Amino acid sequence: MWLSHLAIYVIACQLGLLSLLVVWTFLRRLRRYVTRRNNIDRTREFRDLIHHYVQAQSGRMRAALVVGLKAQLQSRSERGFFRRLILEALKETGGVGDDHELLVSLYRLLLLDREDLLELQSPLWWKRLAASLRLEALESDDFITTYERLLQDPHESVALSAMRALSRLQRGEKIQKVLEVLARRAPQRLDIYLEVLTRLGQHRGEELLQLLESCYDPEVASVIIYTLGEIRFDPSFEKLVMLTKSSSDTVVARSVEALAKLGRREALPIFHDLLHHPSEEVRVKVLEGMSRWGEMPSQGVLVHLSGEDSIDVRRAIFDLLNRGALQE
Amino acid sequence: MTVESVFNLLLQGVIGYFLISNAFFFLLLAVSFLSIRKSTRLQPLLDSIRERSSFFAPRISVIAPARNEERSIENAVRSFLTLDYPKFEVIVVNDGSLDDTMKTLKVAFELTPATLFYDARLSPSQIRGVFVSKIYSNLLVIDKERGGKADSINVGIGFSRSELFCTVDADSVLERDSLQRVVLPFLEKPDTMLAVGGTVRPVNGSDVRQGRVIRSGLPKNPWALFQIVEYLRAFLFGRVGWSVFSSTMIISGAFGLFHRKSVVEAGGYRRDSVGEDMELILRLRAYAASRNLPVDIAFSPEPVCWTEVPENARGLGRQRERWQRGLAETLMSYPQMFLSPKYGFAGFVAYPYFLFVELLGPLVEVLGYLLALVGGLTGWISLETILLFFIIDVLFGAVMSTFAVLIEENAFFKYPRLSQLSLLMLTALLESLGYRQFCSFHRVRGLVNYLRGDRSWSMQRRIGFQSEASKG
Repeated sequence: MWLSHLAIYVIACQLGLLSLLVVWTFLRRLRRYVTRRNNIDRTREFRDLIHHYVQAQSGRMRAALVVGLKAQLQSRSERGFFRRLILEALKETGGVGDDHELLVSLYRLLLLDREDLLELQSPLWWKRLAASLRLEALESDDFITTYERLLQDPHESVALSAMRALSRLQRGEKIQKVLEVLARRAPQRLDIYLEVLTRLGQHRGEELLQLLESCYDPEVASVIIYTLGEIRFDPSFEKLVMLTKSSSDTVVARSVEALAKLGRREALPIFHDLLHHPSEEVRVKVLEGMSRWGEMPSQGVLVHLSGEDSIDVRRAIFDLLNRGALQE
Repeated sequence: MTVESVFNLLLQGVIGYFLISNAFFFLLLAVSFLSIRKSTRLQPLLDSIRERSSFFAPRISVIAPARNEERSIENAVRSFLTLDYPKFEVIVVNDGSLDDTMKTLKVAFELTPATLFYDARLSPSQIRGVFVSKIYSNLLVIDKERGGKADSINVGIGFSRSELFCTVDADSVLERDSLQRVVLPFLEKPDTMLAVGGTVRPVNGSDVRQGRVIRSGLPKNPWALFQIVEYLRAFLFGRVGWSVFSSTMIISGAFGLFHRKSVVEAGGYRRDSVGEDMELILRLRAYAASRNLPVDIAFSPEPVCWTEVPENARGLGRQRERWQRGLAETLMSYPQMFLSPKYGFAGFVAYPYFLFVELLGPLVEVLGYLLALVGGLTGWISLETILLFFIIDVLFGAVMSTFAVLIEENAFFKYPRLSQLSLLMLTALLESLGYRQFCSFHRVRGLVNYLRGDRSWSMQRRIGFQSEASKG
């Protein structure tokens, strides 16, 4: 009997829970309809205001609009909603021009940038990331120190976003900062560091070369070497040739890669020698470099390398032979 | 010991099992609900990939094995080629099709023969030809002798040079941003992430044009409708829940993203397996455990892949029977995982769960029905008690399915019409009344067939996608 009573009690609970879930679901739907209708109206209204601000003939008109907006954007959700619309408008400007400047000034007059800066203090990384990405959209030099601080962020995505923001500002002198970060923490996504550094180092080859001279960390050195190759910095040739004798396999491989990109055939004898290098990574890079130049190793070396277990070496030989065949 | 006491013992066992397994379900439900809410945190990163594509995006090879897909292959490949991702290639592997699949591809994409390096470590299959497209530089088509789906993917991996590869069924439809979404866990944990699965949804009833789901809808066919709710439940709180505990045990063969080098080192897909998708995941875990490597296998709850599901009892029954055989075969292949500390939570909790709940659950359920029948006929249990427990069982299923619909409504909103929501709700309430028992019966059949040594791979008959308009 007690089992039946228990069962009835359980059924009652289940029915109650089920009813709650059904009601909750339909209430969510109702709320969605109402919010969507409101959002459509608000989007139209706010977009008009942004448009008026950008098109206003005088500073006084703009100031009046800002005052009105400040009064209107009281709640957090309203401000967030408006912020999203400004960021959308900023995206359309492509980061340049008077419209961009005006939109950035509006963003800052409404103190939205301060909110972002505050959010960067959040213990939650996704909030810091979102704030960093928003500030990046402003493309303003005023946040350089903020980005530099964010380079030390414990979360990789946040640090990377700061690097990207820095690289977008084209401030070459920040190369050292990025390298410092690299030296301090193992790069989880090396490709991003490389891309950032390449962008920053576009006209800073000399500076990178100096950094390479004073660098003792093979990880960081190989990133600099890669960047020198990417920006095709010809004066680095001698240094790169020297580094092919490095004790670090990674440094040798990167140097070979960079030399191949520089495209100076004087490096070919070194490449032929390096085909016997003990590191598989180096041999692959040498073969790729030779493939780039259409240069073939000797028959004996080719036969020897073809017998290797390494799939990467065999693939590189295949590409080399294939390219040679195509050229013939 | 009398027959009645044995009966009572069995009955208590079934009730105890019911309580424990349902407690697990509730735990997974709660965890998944919170996890999906939290998943919105990655939205800025996702937007970032969209806006500045060259960052945060490792190269991906989309590998699509195809066999006798002449009706759908062109649209499918076009849909793969228009995926919204910065660096990807599409590798279609024609698995010895008997129809005009290859001819269709050659004509549609102006294929021309090519010579490319092939890493034959995973599959020694006979390759008939390799083709590249004159129109799309990122399309590669491999024509090979028949070797099965797993073998085709292995061949595709052999031609891939990307860091990651994604497997898709050639008859599936992907969301445009599916690669962006599933790649996110790889960006979060680049050193340890080996695989990420994506949510698969039934496409039946949706409007599909040019390989895209234009409007998601609900089918009129009740079998497909029940499966929509079932997929919601399975993906939105089963797999999400396990993913939270880093214990994902299965990634659907219809859509998954993998770290290429790790899969190659683990030996690729097993060609003679019925459940090759789950088998690969367990093998990756075994591979990592044997080398004491940290491993992450995650699941993305966003709807990313749409696939056709059976619309009749026969097709559905065969599918479930095969899935259960695959599950049994895979679990039995990795007994070392059971309660092994080397596998962490996956070994301690997920493996026993899959063994006792997913594999043996249908058997216990059918046993429960039989006990109720025997008990009712002999008078050992009152009809009232049987009825009450049946109601509890059905209502429990209804609560779970309704919760899945609520999660869908909250997070994804794929069925925007009120009539669709109402129909989903109704289906969720009725799913445990007949449909679930039907599936359980066929799952038990699968288990029995596995024990009898059946390892065949029954094919599902596809009816092909049709737009609502063309359906009239």
